[in-house]
Amino acid sequence: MKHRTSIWAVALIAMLAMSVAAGVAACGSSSSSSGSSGSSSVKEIKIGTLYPVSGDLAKLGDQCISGVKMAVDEINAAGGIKSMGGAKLVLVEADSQGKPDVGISEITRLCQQDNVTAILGTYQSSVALPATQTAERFQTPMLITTAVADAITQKGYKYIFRICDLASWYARDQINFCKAMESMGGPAVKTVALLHEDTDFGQSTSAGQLKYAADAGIKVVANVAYAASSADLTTQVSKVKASNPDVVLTTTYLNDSILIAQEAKTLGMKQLFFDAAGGTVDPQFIKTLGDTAENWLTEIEFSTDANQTSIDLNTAYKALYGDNMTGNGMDGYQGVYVLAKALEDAATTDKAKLRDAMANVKLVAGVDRVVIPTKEITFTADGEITDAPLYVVQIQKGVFQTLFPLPAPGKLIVP
Amino acid sequence: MNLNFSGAVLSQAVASGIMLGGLFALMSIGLTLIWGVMKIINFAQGEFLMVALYLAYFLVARGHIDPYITIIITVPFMFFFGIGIFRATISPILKDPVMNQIMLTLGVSLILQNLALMLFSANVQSVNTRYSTWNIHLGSVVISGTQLIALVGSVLCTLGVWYFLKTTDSGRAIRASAQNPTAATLMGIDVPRTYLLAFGLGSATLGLAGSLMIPFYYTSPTVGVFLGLIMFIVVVLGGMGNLLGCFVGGLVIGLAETVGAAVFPGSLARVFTFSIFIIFLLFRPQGVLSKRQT
Repeated sequence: MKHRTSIWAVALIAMLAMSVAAGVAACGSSSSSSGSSGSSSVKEIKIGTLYPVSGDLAKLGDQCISGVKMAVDEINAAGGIKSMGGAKLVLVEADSQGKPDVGISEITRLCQQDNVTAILGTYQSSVALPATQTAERFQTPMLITTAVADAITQKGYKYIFRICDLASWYARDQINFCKAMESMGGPAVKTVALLHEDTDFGQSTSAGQLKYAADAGIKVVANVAYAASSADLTTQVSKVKASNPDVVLTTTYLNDSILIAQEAKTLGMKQLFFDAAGGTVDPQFIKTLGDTAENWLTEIEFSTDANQTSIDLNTAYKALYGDNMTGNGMDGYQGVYVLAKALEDAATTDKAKLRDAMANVKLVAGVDRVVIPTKEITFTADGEITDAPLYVVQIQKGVFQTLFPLPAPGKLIVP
Repeated sequence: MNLNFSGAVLSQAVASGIMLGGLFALMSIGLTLIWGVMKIINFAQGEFLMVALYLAYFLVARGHIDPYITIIITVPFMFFFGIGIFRATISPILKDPVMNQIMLTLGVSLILQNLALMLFSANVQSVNTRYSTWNIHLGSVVISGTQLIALVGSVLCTLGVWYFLKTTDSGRAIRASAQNPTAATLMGIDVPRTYLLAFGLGSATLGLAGSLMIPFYYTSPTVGVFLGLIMFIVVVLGGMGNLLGCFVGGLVIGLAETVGAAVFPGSLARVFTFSIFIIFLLFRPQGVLSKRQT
């Protein structure tokens, strides 16, 4: 009996300790933004941001917020929101720490305490799902700049918009590229084999590949799943080889992408491998494999050399932060411009009116600031960006060469 | 379910399975040796292998040393590394209850993992050597040369350790200490020293494994978690403390992994591996080669 009591005491103490820790964390983060509440006249427009700027994902959250800050500074320097007498954009930053629960409490704080007009976020889908629910409840427009889970914009919310690619679009653009490959001097793609790791990422991507391949009349001759932690993938790769496809579509993490590349070479496979922005986009892929990585295709959200707009944008970003811009930074940057355009149209910080302006916003390339490779940015009734193609790149001499969407600077190499 | 596989895929799976099995056996020799001698389950063995892989990685990537020449550094290093860990942590609690020893080695494994995370970051590291394109073609079956070397290394290492235990004085001392520490002490054997030697030897085999694996494998702070699990299955399957059983166990698990992957999709292949393990536990809990102890 005594034993059991002491276990309960320990459990109770542990729970108390955890709740105290959570309280301290909440206090810590809310103090970071004090001082930005102020006058009610529209001299400044408060925009909340929710990204993981501490914890494991801090580096990626930083990329998002860097793009956001760059755009905010540009817009303010150019005279702010003109329809509101040159009102300046002011950021109120919140840190999700990569945790869904923190995401909810931070959205609540941004809406209730800081009275922000709109919110940008979130990087992770796991944070985006509860965060968008909370923003919807507070009827605060929220623009997702990065978070790919399809479900985020499929819940019938009115205040939620998204400008980044959906998870299924990675598969869509793989198939689009396969269709275009013959016109680029590549093989006429009639068959593909799918090789994917079998967590949610690989499963959902391969489901998309099956769907889009069927729509395009491309036959899937093998569909091989594997556990990403496998020590050896020779068997899986040899299954793919036996099906003799025109192109192999992969969905990978890093270790497995390296194993696949090595084993495909070992087995003497000549086909092009096309990865859905998995392990192949990690710099370690090229660094580790050297020549073996050559000719692999993959997808990226932002190409630093695709066109003059990208080159200029990356140069400006690099001057500010020292690194190349990534898809996360580009989407954050583009998100601010989309939001600014909607504010310009709405001419008010009334959140319901801003929501309507967002739903009808239209940015035209060449007239407005558009850095996504698309002609115009509009939203569907779901709040999803109408079209945001990915860049298809090929590893040539150890660097990414942009091949797609056309016109692009690179040329496809067929081994 | 996707069950279309041909004879070519299956024969490739068997060949890969034998290679992989050799590798698994090589990794597991140390664990079975340490258990066999001092009845300590070293949960940090996977992390020892991680250390060896990092050492081999840095020697090859930064030191530009041929991976097979790094053996002359990794094996002695891991020997003394093992001795150091044994002296500092395990030797003081040799007589403590088993649970304490498990907790201790588990703690060592967590420390090593997080130390690696701090020093080397979570990035996966691997090297590209001139051996990586060296393949042997047998009909439609392709065998990677580096994996074949690992298999040969595994056989030699098993035989070497076995020969050492059978014929040398130190080997006999180790076996005596394993059989009956008290009697061994009475015969004038320095048992603590023998334990130290056995632990160092068990760790040194991982130095060899690290050098032989790095041309075709990768390293990361958590690489030992998965490999450690494999080691335990191999050792239990082979009969704990049984060297030759360990080799057979490695082959069984290697084949189960690759043939399983040829037949079942994705992570279901793992179910096959672990099912074999459970079946063995149910019907031959003493391991493939050992006689049932009474």
